[in-house]
Amino acid sequence: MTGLGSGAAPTGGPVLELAGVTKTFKQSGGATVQAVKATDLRVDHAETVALVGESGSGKSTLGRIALCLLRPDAGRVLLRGQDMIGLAGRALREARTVMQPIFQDPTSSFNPRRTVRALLAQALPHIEPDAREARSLDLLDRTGLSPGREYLDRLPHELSGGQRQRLALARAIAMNPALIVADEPLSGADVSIRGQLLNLLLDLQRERGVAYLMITHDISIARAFADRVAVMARGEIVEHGPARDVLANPQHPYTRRLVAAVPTIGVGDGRPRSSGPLRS
Amino acid sequence: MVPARPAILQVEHLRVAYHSPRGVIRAIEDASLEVGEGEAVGLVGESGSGKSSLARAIMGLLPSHVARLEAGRIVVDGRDVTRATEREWVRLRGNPAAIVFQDPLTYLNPIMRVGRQIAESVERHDPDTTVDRRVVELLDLVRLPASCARAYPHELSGGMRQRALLAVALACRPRLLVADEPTTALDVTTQAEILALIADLRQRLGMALLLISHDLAVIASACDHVHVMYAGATVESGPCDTVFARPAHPYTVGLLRAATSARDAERRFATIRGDVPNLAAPVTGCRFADRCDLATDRCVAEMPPPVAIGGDPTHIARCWESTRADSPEACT
Repeated sequence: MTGLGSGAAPTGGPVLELAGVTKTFKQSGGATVQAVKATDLRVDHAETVALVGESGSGKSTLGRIALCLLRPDAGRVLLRGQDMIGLAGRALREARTVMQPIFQDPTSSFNPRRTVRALLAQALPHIEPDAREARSLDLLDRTGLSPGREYLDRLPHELSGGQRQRLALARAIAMNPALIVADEPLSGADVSIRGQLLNLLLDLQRERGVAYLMITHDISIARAFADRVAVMARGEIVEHGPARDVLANPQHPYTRRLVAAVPTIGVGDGRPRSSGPLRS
Repeated sequence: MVPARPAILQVEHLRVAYHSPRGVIRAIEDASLEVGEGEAVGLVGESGSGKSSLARAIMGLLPSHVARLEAGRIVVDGRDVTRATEREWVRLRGNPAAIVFQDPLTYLNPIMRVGRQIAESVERHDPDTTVDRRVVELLDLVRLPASCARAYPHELSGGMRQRALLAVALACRPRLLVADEPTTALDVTTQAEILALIADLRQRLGMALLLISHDLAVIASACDHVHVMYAGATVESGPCDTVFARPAHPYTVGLLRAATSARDAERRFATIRGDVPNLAAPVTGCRFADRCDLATDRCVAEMPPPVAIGGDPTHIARCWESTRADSPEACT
């Protein structure tokens, strides 16, 4: 499936580079909060990086800076080598199509009065109107909404939560992005369909070399899915490295606390079930 | 099933349907569970499984204009409350059973100080005590500083709000705490604190717990016994150690593999095919049949009865094929 438009990066190397990114918010009382402090982050071609942290850690702010939805006070944002900070208006919008966001609650990113057909057509401006239906069906099929014809005329509320998340993914890949920034993409999905969504993301990566920046508080997903993990606390990345090393053998006290707090079922790993201090 | 301890809660073959102009939603088809005095029982299920409807039914909180309790019984502390009127429920709620919810902000009054809200609960259930002293005692019990009494809910963090809501519930001196996704909106470290607090309260107050969650790991870390709900039916139940080590229902097997992010030889994630069911559609047989790789004609035609697994009367599953469920081909 070859798209027109931007297309995924054909080469290796970094897709996204954040260097020395800083963002401070002013509160109503005049106080300031430094949400992100001089932070570096790199995502390579066909790589999955998980940005892990608790609420208030600054991970979503960093995600919004990466998506160029928020301008940092200082630092550089490079998308496939192009400096995004100086861009504005149309130039920014065009450069930005190389990456696509997926949010936790896809419902709020869909116009509730538009059908699946119209929602997908929006994401296919580079395709001739006559060819859009065929391409839409292909996208629905790819994302597990098949047969696609059954979904084209539905409204968002006529889909289940998992189907809406798949539609969000279909829209994101319609632009043929090199990078997908996913902010808590699985939090709203039921456990039994989580695997389907993760497999879909894996397939896309294998076929097209899409890179993922996955922003999540769920350490078990980061452990299972990401190549590299960056742990964020109070606006700073306190620890980063290969997912397995960081989460199996955390060095920073904050990461240790985070990993220890995750409840485990402990089946099949040879450990007793109640490893946590939580059981009376 | 013979309970080790007298039951504080018994739900027997409960059926609940929501009637609306657009049709009937059969939220609970056939749910049974039991919580012994002082016991910690988990109820796990996905969206649409009926777990929250069940929690509301137990507390008499179903929306009476649409919900109908069509069959079965709910017995709280030996008393049949299935047909209790709203007037009776007003006296029953809080003691013997109290409930806390996922989002405390919805259940706390936004324009009333936290201390006042706890005091209201004390006045109702403990009219003879010195209210102020009991409020301080309750705040201490949930490990909130006494200064929180003067705070409004929006001034507290998510974890502190959940503690405040717990204090309101504990003011009723419940013998059973029903907790519906109490930690779902919280960060993992705060979740661990709240679960540890609930475990500690259970021990100190001898309180039973019915913990409702979509997260198997939360149930595993906090409960002795688990019930798995799918599409309105309790499909498997037993001691956590048994069910998590040797699940008998194909749905439980799949759920466990998904929850542990198990990956196969080709590095693909374990999945359960299909989607969570549409409860408006009438189904005769097992509701999991269309997602189950073991399903036979009998599964589609007939709802399986609960049976003891491997001769263990505490481990119950509703599956015609339960003996094959944990075999490798059961879930792809």
